[in-house]
Amino acid sequence: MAADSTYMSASVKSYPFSMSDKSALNKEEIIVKDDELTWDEQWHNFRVWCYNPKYREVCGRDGLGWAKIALFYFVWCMFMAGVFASFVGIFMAIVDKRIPPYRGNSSAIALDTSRPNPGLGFRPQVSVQKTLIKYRSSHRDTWGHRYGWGEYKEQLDQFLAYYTEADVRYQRAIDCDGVSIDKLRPQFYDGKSCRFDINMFRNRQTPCVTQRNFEYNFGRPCVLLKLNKIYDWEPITYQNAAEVPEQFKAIWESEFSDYILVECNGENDVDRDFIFEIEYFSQMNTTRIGGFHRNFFPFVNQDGYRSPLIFVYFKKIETNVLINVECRAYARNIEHNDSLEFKRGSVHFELIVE
Amino acid sequence: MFREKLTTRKNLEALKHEIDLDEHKLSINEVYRRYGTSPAMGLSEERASVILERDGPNDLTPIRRTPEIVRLAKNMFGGFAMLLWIGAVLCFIAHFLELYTLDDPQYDNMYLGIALASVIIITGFFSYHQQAKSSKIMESFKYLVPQQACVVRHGKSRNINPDKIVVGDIVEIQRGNRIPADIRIIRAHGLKVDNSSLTGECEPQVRGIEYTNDDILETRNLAFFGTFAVEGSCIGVVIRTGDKTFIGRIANLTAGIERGHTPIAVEITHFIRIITIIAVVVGVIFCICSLFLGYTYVEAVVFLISIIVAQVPEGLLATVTVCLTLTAQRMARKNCLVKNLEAIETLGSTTVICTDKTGTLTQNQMTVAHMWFDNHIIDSDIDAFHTQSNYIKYSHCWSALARCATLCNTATFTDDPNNLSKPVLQRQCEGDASEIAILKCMEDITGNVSNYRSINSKVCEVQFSSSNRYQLSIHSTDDNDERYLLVMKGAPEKIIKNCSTIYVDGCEIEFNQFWKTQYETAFKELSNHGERVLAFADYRLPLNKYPRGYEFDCDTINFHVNPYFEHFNFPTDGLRFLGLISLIDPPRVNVAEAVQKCRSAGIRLLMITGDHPLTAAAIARYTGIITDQDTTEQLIENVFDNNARSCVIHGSTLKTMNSIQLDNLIKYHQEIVFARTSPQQKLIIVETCQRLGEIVAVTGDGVNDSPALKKADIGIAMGITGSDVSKQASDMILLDDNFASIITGIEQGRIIFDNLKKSICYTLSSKIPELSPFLLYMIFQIPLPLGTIAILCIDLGTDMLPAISLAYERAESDIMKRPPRDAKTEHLATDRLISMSYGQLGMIQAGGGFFVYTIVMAENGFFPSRLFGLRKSWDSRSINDLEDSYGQEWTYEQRKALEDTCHTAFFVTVVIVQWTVLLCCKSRRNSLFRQGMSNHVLNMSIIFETLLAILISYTPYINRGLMMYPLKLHWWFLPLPFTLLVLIYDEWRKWIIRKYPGSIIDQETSY
Repeated sequence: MAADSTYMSASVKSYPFSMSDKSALNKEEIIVKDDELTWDEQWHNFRVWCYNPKYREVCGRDGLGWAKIALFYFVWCMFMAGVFASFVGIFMAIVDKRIPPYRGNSSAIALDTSRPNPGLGFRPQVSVQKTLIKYRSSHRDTWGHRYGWGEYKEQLDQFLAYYTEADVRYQRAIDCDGVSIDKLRPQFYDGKSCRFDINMFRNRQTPCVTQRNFEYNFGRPCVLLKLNKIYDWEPITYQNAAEVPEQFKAIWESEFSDYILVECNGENDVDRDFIFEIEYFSQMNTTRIGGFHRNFFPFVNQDGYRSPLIFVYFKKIETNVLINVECRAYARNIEHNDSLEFKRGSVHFELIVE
Repeated sequence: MFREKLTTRKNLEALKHEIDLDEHKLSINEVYRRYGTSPAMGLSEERASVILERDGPNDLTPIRRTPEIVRLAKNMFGGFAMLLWIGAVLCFIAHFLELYTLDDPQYDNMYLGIALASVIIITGFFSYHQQAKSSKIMESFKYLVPQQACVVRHGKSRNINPDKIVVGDIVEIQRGNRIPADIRIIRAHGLKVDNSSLTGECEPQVRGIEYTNDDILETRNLAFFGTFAVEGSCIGVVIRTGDKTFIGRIANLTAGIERGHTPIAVEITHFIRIITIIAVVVGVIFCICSLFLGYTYVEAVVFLISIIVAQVPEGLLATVTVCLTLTAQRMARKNCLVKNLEAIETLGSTTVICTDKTGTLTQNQMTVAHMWFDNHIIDSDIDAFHTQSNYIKYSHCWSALARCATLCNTATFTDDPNNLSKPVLQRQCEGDASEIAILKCMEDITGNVSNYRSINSKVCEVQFSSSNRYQLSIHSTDDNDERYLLVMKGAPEKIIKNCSTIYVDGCEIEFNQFWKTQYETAFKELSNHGERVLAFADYRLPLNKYPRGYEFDCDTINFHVNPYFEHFNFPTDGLRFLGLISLIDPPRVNVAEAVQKCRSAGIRLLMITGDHPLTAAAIARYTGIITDQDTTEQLIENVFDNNARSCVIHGSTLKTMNSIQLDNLIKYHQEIVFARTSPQQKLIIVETCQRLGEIVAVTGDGVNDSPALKKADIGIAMGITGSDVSKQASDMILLDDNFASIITGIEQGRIIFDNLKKSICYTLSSKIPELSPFLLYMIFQIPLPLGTIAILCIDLGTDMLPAISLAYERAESDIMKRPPRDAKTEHLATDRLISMSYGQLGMIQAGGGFFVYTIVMAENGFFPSRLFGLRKSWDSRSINDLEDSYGQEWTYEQRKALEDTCHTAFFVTVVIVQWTVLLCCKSRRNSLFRQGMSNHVLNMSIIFETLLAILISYTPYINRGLMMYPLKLHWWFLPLPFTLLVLIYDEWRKWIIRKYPGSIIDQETSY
């Protein structure tokens, strides 16, 4: 039949891939079919998509295409970077570099406690990740798994050097002994700050001096404590024995009213059992408790400002065990949270002396 | 009892072939012999039970229902959900890696994993619920089985349960019964069966004992399981039972058809592939970077996983589901009930619609179309009639024809005052479809038919039968003429033989050759319109021979037993020819318009009908499916001419074609009408279209359509006339049976595809501001600018409603004027969309986020220069005194509060920049000012997301729960320049696209 034969020929022409799909595979073209593609064809398509030698295309784009889009995105990224940088630049140009825009209760520092609540810092802290002070008192240098005390001493030295270094241009520290805070406060805002004299520790014949290796080599480590600086924050110290927490009532002296008191102890009963005797060396005359003199506050970003320090001297502790130590600062406007996690007004570290 | 399931592929192929049945060709005695039965005695009980044991009960194997748990699982693990599951699993792996290797593990990955899992589960249940709601599983084939069947066994007729019927049983069927099995009729009395559930033909078919056609559906002597005996009664011998019946085969064929993926599912797979490739590539690059930066292997792996997971669009699954659901609801309001959510989009990408004729394109109601009298063809449209009413009023011919049509008609209106008070066309009637049509026409034109009939009382009548093909009645008239009036109606060739005169312009003249030619011309013209033509004639019986009170003997009883017996005691020839009335099942009012719209939307229409080619072609012409003006004969010849645009193909021709011929037929002809097609052929046509890469929508109402409905990419069933079976097999149901509703569906489908694109573009744009903080945290070691919980707040909180609101966006241009999308090249998510969304909109958002982050950090003391490299100390719980740029020292808790404030600020920034991103996503080419702001849901969503951000940031407890902090007021204004930048940039981009189509901007950024 004539009609039928025209039919057949038309059909063959119209189906380029129906004759043999094998021949199609050799071409460098993406195969498009009405039927489902076989795995072979899909793999072929993927390969051709990755690199098409015929059109020199990589991932469906030739060199020019890639250059164009790269240029486009380069320009675009530069533009965005420019916008971002100029915005940040403008902001940085107008922002006050000495006084934080947010102070006191409006600062993010006060977010969780509704008013600024300084924590404590301790030294030596050798690792960013750890609060552990672990060493072998017989070794100076770390050797394998035996940690020596050398690095702890070095860090303390380094830290204390900061207090002795003469800041030629800006050192405007003044001696605040016996001056009332009301007289000092305006001077602070002028950029002056009280001098913290670290020679005191040597002068008072304390064990916590570098000459005595802070007694690390005797298994009686000295740990340095400092109160966190918060702009404009002033302590409200306890004024009489009636106000102080229970444990201080017995030892209350009138001197205490000028100090933010600091006490360290084992965190749990077990830890407390391992700590037999602690001494505190600070500006205070007593060694039964530590204290930061209130004349150092408020901190108003003075150039020569040095935080007051306390040495906690673990005079007699159990060796070869882990002791969790918690030190707390006490003032009427420092609150604590018993949950370890927050460390409000306190600091936590561990001791292992071998 | 064990029943064989006909679901293997081989069996399916077998089912596609036409049913192999020759009982109608055999003589009745041979049939008895074959089944060992006799008409008088029937089967014996014993033999019946043996056969029952062999063949199984006479009912249909119930459709294997997908267990609910499997359906649920499909929703939980299909496509997109799978991607999220992988993400969730990766999250948990990363979390455990962290847990076992880091001293201070973060729980972010666990939260993320849990959030992902809950999103999947909630969305899964949601879409499962949607599906269950809209697709009630109907065990509809069951309803086809008659409740009781009367069989002859042991010579006694008795009622038994129809599922006990076996092959060879003699069954008796009364009016109103369902046929209990496929039967060969051995005795019939005015039997008419409603085959509509099989063929879709609305008219009851006459059935008798004669073998009239080779085609089993056409031949008179077969009646099929599940059809309905509308009139008369019969006795038949059962030749097929249960799954072997005609309908059983269709049921099994339907059940066995597996459907491919919906286009939207394919698109989503494609989208997932792109997202996965990008995620993995970015992840691996930064994983390698992190190794060079000195991270440990475990950290690097955790980073890799975090980066990959960070790019999983958590909210998108829910967004897509809700968008589709909303569209489904909107379509339901417009009479399209969508059973399968994914089918909505399918309709939009449909390229071919295979439509049924009866009931979909037509009204499924016979109506008088034309009349021929006085040598004129008159359009019987009511409107047309009124314009010609004067002419008609004074035409004698018309009054004679009207009298004849009114009297020689047995149809009546259902006698119910309520019914009679309705408009004529809507009244319920009793009788034959064509008689009803004439009755309604007469009632409409002349007024009170029943009154007219009562004053022109009927004396005698001969009913219409398939063998005599005419109907006559004798009346006494009220026009002061004593003579009786004989009126006759019937097939024109039959009537014409009995006429000797013709009534023209009030004169009775000889019916000579001239008038016969005139009549022939008119008849041809009418039947070429696909109309069924009836001729009318009358005769005044001479008073002298037939005086008043004359006993007319119509011998009705004999007449039925012996159709060729025509011995009446009055003449039936020498009549006066009055005219012709032609009937048609007219197309629905707005179908032509709808077809036109389809055409302008680039959709091909194929008509597939079981009807006669002439009728089919006529309706096709009328509705515009065929625009070729050639005669139908020419169109039928066009089948083998590849250059012709239109063709009409008969089922028997189709049967002889091989698949290549079929491919060509469908490829080369734009307009095709398939007439006299069988269900199997319908299925084959659909398959052929699909083989040619078309996306096929099929409409249908009969059981016979269900295989095609199931096979089609989208099956559309009719809500009113559709059989339950077809509804079950379909994805969508047209509640008003109106083809025009499909247009709404197509429009909605196309809109939703566009809008999903926009939604995806919007949703993905926040991925970069979510990912880049982590990358910078990793590379530059800055404190993390945006945390996991904040990311979840964006993805599953503030971004959700705006993304969904894009589903309400109106179309950008006239989407019904462009061709359907090419499923092979036009994708939902393209690399350009990703490049646009990630690279451009996302970049601006990220820029804004980092800017605000920098400001918040700086205002609280950490200048940008201080931030670099700070990560380790910042994140270490051990550091209790981290110094900032103002010399203040921060504890861990205080730093983290600041960090969370930064997260909040970053989150708020993303929300605020997303305002304009949303506005930009409203249109893909149009300017926002042209697109307008009329989408109020979208406007509300902007307000809502802002309120949500305020709520998250400021409400006590809620903000702590989500690790957020209240922001200072002015931080809310910092993102505004970037918000504006998005708008300006995007308007500029769209302007370039419109102005310079084909430019690099157009090529690289139009999605």
